[in-house]
Amino acid sequence: MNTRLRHEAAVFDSTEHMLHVVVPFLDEATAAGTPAVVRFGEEWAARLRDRVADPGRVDFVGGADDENPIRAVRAMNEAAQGHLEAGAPQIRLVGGVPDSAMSSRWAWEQWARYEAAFNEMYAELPAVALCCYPAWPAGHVHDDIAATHPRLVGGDGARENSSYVDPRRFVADRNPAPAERLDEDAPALELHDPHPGIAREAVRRLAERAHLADGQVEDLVLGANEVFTNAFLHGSRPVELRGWVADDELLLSIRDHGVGVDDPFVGMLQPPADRPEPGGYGVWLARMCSDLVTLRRDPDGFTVRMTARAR
Amino acid sequence: MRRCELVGEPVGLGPHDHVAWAHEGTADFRRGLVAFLDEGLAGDEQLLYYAPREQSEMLDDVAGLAQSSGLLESGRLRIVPVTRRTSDFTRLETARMMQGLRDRVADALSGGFHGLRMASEVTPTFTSAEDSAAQLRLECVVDQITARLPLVALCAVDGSSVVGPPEQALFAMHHLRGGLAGVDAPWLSAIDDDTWLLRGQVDLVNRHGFAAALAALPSAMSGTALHLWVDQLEFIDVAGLRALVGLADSMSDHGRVVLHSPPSWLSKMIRLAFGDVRGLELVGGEGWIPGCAR
Repeated sequence: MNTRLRHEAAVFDSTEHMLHVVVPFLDEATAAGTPAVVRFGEEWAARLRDRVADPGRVDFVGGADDENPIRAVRAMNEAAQGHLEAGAPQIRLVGGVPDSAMSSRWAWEQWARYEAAFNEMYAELPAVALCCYPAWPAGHVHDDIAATHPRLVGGDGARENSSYVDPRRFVADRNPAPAERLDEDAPALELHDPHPGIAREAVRRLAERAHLADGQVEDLVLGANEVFTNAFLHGSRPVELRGWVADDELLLSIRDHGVGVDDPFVGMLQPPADRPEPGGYGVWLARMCSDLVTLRRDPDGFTVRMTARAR
Repeated sequence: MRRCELVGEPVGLGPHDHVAWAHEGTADFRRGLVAFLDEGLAGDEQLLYYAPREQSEMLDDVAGLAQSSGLLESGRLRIVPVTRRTSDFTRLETARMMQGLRDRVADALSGGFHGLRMASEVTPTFTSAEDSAAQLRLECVVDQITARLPLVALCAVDGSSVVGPPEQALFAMHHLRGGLAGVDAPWLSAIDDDTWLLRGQVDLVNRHGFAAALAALPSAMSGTALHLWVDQLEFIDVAGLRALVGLADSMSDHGRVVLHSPPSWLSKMIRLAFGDVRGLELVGGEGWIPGCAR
């Protein structure tokens, strides 16, 4: 029995093909008494319920329609954690990505990075995680799938994947993300050490200029405030807030002159509720409240960048 | 609804007003105190001045009031030196003090006055954590009494000591504030017994003061549910929210915190950052979360 993560991807050209792979994967778990958690959209979930041997032994959780991976996986993580805390020696996870996220370069960028991070964040998780993708997305999506999954499932079962890329290298090679290239122009917003209330108001106005929906504006203000707070509390002044807008896209940069953190995956996992010291929520919340968050250290400081696009 | 605003001086006040005023030292305090009491004389109010000071010093404080001796002799003005540390009062004693305050309001009314006007100078209570926490608990009760009865209350503090979270918390619990220098607190004011209005913004600047004010609220509760109206809350960061969630969790065995009319962003933020919260119930507003309460 595996005691460490096996992160696998499977690409399907039809629903029947998906069922052909996933049903035995789940039935095998049921037969072995291994808990299984599934995060699928309603259509695939309904088909699975009809076909697995004992649907009552499989947790079907929500979040499958969320384009933001940090939000999308939350229910699955909680269910998995519950099984492990109850004593399960191993679990099986099955998940997918919303179609809309695979056809948007903005949304896919965060998913691709999350898939890479998953390998490092959950390296010690006693789980087999099967990520299910359709065949239709563009080639670059499939390139990313191959680069972020150490094992691929084919007609003859799962095999080691020679295209897999070290997660940190994968992320580093993608910087700057396309969405970050708005900074080639002069910023529309530039504030040094602003009062938090003034910073929030400035972000709000910028978000409205980018035609973000009301909910997106609120989200961005919440997330930016947490990053801004981190910069003040843990970084070194001056804290610099900059923003760019082009059409319906927005880039925020929050920079301080401290050393920052060296982990590009900070905030991709929910901070444990029982952590003795408060904190750790800032970047996690920022990731849930925007389309993409990147962290960058350089010799002069630390920069967190948030991007969002009007929906 | 009581107004929430900044005032220049502790005057222009009426029944149900509870003002915190940061003065600039003894001379400034005495000037403001006399103006405050003078307004009460003009408004046919009974006057009360209590403070953790010597009686002789308190007499000097009110000496600028016209005919202060006569007012003292007639009982129109009473001064009450408090010799014990605030934190030395047991909860029972505090409850008795508060009942005493209600009785004084009733006495004022039965004596033909329009209400009671009470002043205090509380700077010495902010020299220790225990005393300041006790003072905040006292302020909760006073604010609830002020919200319901014809009482006008002034809480004066030396502005040079207004530097930390306890002082921020003190100001947060007053819907009227004067002489502020650098105090940037949200507003937490009583609407009724166990029912408070939270307004303004909670963030990096005032989160610790907000947490201190919030922690004092249960001490003034008469029931098991603490009701907070948050429809006018403009912003609260995760740390502020953690204080709220922590309070709900700490009360969950015997009571709950009810957030009334939460804006959609607040409901969403609670859901995102904390999920289901023990002891927290969201009611009405745009963002009611079924199942959030337990």
